[in-house]
Amino acid sequence: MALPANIMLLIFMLGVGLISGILMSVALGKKVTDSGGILGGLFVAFLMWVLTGGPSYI
Amino acid sequence: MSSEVAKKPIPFNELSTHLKRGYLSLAVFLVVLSVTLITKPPIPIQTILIALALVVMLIGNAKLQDLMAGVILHPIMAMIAGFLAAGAMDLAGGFDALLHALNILAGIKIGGFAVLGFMGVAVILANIPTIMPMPCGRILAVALLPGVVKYGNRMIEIIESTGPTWGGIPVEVILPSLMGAFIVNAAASCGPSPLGGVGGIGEGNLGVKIGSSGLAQQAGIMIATGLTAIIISFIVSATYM
Repeated sequence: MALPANIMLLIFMLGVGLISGILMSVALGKKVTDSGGILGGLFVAFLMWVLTGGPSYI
Repeated sequence: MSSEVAKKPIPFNELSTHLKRGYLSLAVFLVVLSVTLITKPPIPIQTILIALALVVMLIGNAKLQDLMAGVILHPIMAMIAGFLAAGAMDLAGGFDALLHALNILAGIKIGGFAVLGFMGVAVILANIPTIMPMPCGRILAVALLPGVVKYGNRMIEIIESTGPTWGGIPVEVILPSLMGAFIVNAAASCGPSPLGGVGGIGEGNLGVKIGSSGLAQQAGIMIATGLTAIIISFIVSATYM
C-alpha cells in the first residue's frame, strides 16, 4: 500500500533537512557525521512540514 | 493633439481649493528636497521627510487616517520596520537575550549527549527566516542579523577553545559562512510566505491556493542555505591557504 502523500512529503523534507544540515556542518568546520548539524537540519525540516499544515492531512 | 490637451488651462485663481493646496504642497516638497540637496544640512533625511509629511498634512488639511489611507505600501517599508525593530531590540538588550537563549538551547543534553550543540543551533538560526516566512525577507534579515553576528563570534570562541576544525577549515570562515547562509535564507523567504510575499503574488496570478507552493519553496531554500554556506566556506578558506 502506498504511503499517504503528506507522509511522503515529510520523508522528502527530512531528506532535504539532512542534506542541508550536513552541508552547513561541513561549511562551519564540523564533520559530515556531526549529529548537531544533522539533528538541526531534521528539526528545521520537520518544523516547516508542521507549519505548512502537513499533519492536518493525516 | 487631443481636445483635452489643447483645451486652454484654467487660470490659477480659478482653480479649486483642492488643486491649489496640491500645488502648494508640491512646491513645498520640491523646494525642501532641493534645499536639502544643495545645503546638505546635518539632519538625517528621514527627519526632514517626516517633517515634510507633517507640513504637507497641514497644507492639505489631512487627518492622520487620511494619511494612513494614502500611504503607498511597499516591501521597503518592511525593511525599515525591521531596522527599527532591530534598533529597539539592541537597545533593550534583546540580542544579548537571544544569544543567552541560543546558548541554553545548544547546551541541552539528554543522557549526557548534547542534542543540538552549537552546530545544530546554527542550522536552526540560519533557517529561522524561512521557518517564519514574512512577506518581505528583509524584515527578519535586518531584525536578526546582529544576533547572528554575535552567535557566529561565540561559535568561533568555542571552536577555538575546543580544538581544530574538521578538514583544517580556518575559524575565520565561520562568521561569513553563517551570515551568508542566513542572508540567502532570509532573502528568499518572502517566496513561501502566506502573508503576501512574492510567491503569494505568483500564486494569486495563477489563481491557485495561497501557500500551495510554500513547502516546495522552503525545501529549495533549505538546500540553497547549505550550499551557500559551503561555497562561502570554500572560497574564504582558499584565501587563507
